[in-house]
Amino acid sequence: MTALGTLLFIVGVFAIRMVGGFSLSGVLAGNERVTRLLLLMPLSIVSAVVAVQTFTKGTTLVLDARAVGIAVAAILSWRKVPLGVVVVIAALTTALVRQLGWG
Amino acid sequence: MTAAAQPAAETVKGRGALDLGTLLFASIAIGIAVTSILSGVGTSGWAVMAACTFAYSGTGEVAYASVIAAGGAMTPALVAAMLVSSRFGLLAMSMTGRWKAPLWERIVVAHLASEVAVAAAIEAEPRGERAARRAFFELALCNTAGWIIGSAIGLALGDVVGNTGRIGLDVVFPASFVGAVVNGLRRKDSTVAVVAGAGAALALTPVLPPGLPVLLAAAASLLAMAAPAEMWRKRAAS
Repeated sequence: MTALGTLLFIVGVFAIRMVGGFSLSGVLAGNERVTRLLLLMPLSIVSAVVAVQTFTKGTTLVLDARAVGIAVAAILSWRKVPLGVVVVIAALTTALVRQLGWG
Repeated sequence: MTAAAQPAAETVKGRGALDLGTLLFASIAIGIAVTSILSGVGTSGWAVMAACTFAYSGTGEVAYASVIAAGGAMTPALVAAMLVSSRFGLLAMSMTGRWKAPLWERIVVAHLASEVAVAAAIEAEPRGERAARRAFFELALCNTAGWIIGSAIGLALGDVVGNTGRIGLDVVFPASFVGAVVNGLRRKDSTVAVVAGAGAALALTPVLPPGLPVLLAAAASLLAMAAPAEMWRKRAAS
């Protein structure tokens, strides 16, 4: 990342956030259906990010060691295990599966 | 992560030190992982620190680096980074009007609206506006502080980390907010949002440039609007 690239990257992401954060008018923001949509939308996005980071490489779908690590993380999260423990066990599981020669 | 389903026993009580400490630890790990990828394409130390502090988009940094690593130029790398970061606009939008805030706070909230912080705010919302605000800032500050510390550690370690995949660092980032996803499975409408979001993103991945599938997957939440807003098990309804 060059100096110019870094600067443009920072300005660009900041602009994206501000456009999102300030594009809804006060009236719309108080609307009950809009409020509910704003509650559900992040879940779709977060879920999509997890799926993409787990099951894709570039533009291809892949099933590898990451899937095992994330599956373990999902089970632990469901059981309300603290976040840091979830993350460490997920990483160790993924590393172990790779050691065993898969993905 | 605490479930929205739990009764409002502690009204504005924040998260335990253990939860925040572990998030801090996870964020440091993310910082190390992202830094090693950025350094791999010859990014200088100050650029790494500026990007993690002011852009605060790990996936954006990784997208940028992957285009450069594949021999691409700066412009396509920036386009890829912006596409991947486009979801932050929607995450910032989803924080609109959750509590009364002056302009400066709205700017800070829009800037810090990461997956983990937004997810925590939404989970805490049934316990009131103050609980949502507290949860958001606790996780956002832990996340960003840990990430900056982790980036600095990553720079100091340099090549010591080597291949991040070998020690499983590549799953640290998704694993840190998979909790919000599985929590979404406790309610009918959020289950639709979660399943349709992931399905849409995976289905679109082979046909669209990186970033767009996640952006379009946000539309899956429109489908979820049609599902009832209730728990799968009535017993746990809040």
